[in-house]
Amino acid sequence: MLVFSTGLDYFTALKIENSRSKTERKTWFWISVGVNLGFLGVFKYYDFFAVSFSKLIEGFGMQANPFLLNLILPVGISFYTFHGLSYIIDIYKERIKAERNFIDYALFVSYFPLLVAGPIERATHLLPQVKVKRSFDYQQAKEGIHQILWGLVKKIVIADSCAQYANAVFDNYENMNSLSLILGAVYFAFQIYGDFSGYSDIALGTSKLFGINLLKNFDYPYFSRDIAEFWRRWHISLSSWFRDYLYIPLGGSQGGTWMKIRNTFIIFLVSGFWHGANWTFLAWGFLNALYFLPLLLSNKNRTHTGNIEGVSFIQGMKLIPQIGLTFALTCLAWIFFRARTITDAFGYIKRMFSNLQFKPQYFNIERYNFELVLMLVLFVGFEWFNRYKIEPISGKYSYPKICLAIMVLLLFGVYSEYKSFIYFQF
Amino acid sequence: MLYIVQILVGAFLLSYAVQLAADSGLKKMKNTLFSEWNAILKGNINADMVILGSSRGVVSYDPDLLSAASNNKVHNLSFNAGSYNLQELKYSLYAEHNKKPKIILQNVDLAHFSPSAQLPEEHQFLPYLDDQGLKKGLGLFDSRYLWVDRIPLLKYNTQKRFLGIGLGSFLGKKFKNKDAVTDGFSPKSIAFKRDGHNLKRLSDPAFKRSYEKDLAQMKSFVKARIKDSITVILVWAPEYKERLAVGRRLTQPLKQALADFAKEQKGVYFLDMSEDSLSQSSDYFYDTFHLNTKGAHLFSAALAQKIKDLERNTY
Repeated sequence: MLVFSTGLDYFTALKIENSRSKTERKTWFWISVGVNLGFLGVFKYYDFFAVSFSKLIEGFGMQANPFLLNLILPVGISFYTFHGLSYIIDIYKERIKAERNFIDYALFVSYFPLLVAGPIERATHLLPQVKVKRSFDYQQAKEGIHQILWGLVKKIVIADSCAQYANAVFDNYENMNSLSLILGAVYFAFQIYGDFSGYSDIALGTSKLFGINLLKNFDYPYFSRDIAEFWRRWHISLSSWFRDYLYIPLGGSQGGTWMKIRNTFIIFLVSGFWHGANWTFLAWGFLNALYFLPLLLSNKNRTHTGNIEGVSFIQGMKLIPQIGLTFALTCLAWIFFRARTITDAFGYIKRMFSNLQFKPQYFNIERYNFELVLMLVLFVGFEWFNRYKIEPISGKYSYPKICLAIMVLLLFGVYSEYKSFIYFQF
Repeated sequence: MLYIVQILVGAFLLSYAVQLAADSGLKKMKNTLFSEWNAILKGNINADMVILGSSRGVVSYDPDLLSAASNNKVHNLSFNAGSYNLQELKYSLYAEHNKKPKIILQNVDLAHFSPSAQLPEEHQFLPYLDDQGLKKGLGLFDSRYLWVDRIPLLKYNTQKRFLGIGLGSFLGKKFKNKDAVTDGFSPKSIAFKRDGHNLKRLSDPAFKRSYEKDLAQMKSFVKARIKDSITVILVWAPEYKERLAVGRRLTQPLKQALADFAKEQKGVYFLDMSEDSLSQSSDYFYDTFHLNTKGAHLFSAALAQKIKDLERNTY
């Protein structure tokens, strides 16, 4: 799949560039886009549509026996398809020249740190770095090691610890009280953040050892002051991909109100659907669109663009509800992302607001619901005081911080069972 | 490369220092399982009579009473929740570091003949995982033990509470010890609670056990001790009458096999005290299988007398 997709995009890019007419150019462009999306559609979405369609037919009282492919999803297909698409679109839009060297192009698509879970790179950013001769840069490698180490802490300590608690809550939500359900959503929020941003840090850090800088994928998203800011800080490479290759071509926020609303829903629903063929991901995208829309329509979607600078007491008092509300809304949306079905997600939320019991509860993993809170508070504090940096380890006192990070990995890392990265499935 | 080495050396030294402090803190905690292992591995026990058993061994056999009656130094080596394979491991480590005993009191019961597949109360080994014999023995249950001590602090990963306790103890903090262990004996003053689930299991006609292999294993362990000129006394401690009744169909053939073994093997004795008068009252038990402190004292006194009689009449 990877070899075919790489060969196809390399070949069609040259064809687009060498086309003598607009029609020929367009034909090659749509062949590439069609085949790329076709593969993604067949492997990732065919069964979902077949089952959903058959359920719809059954709803009208007719019999349906859908033909399912039951294909195993090729690892990283969503990521390398988007690499290839961005390259082809950039060639078609004449933003870059087609790459003549197949090896360089193949390396751009299949560069190992980002192959399975991103960040989704752009040819304009990565290809020039691939083409130049690189020499070992000690300072860059050092930064890379720091970033790898912090990524490991986020994945093995934060995400995998939170996973145990979040699974205990989500898999058994009918028996949980309100406190456990709230904490379950918070634990999952940190699980997915630690897991995915941890992976991204490891990928970026590893890449730095080879002298290549990858696109930043996370920028302390849980310190966002509104949802618009959250989406500029979360999975940045995917958000910006959709912005540049879908939202802006659709007209972005330039048109009238209805166009803005339509484009917002399209981009968030497609983003949700990109994560997987399940109604829960669509609901997650829909909910985020609902969060985002009021900001867009009131022209407040770019109120918070910079970092949170030195905060006075009064500013801090204003920031806490802003950040808290954004985080709460995000957690609510994550419930849809994590739940097995839409019904489960609504059941979870309903129980969270109706049970109203806030006692410590003992989980079947032989842990109390509140036990991870202190660890998360320390983690958030550590990130908050280092939020200007790529990762919190670099800078002053980096050596003791590294030693501490290794000790934390040894003591608090979860090694009892193998836990794959969540985003490997996408 | 040098930077990575610097990081690793720094992290290793710091982690090792913390681990060393926690280990020594745990080692110095008196009347605990840690102090028991410390005494075993340092060769500080050297008892004339040792008691082997599982949880029933731990809570029922009072070395003080047995010692007073026989003028022997007695130590209880029982392994809570450990079947014969774990008991044998503990004994072999004891024998490696201490002088061999003259007498072994081996507690026997149904549970004894179901080998442990997992290590119970793993925290007790934490400060001693650098001991090659212990490491090798524990490695039979979990291969992690063969290497986990090579990476500092990793052994505390699943036992974080004990890192805190160890460091606290190292810094002089005193901890409440609910389960104090004295010479391996840890009696329990708990009110009787009927363990219905166990009785139900025992009374189920479908519940069957085959002891041949485990009995043969025990016999070979005993025979090896006889070769070392050690007298082995197999003791079936009292069980509550309700349990005796439901378990009879399973225990009777086993008791007969043990009696036969004692009859044919010189230096082996079998004392069946399961139906002792204590078994008639729940006042002496905390469940149908385990004696409480009161029961343990009465049983130990009665056992001391029986051993005395045995000594007088036989060896």
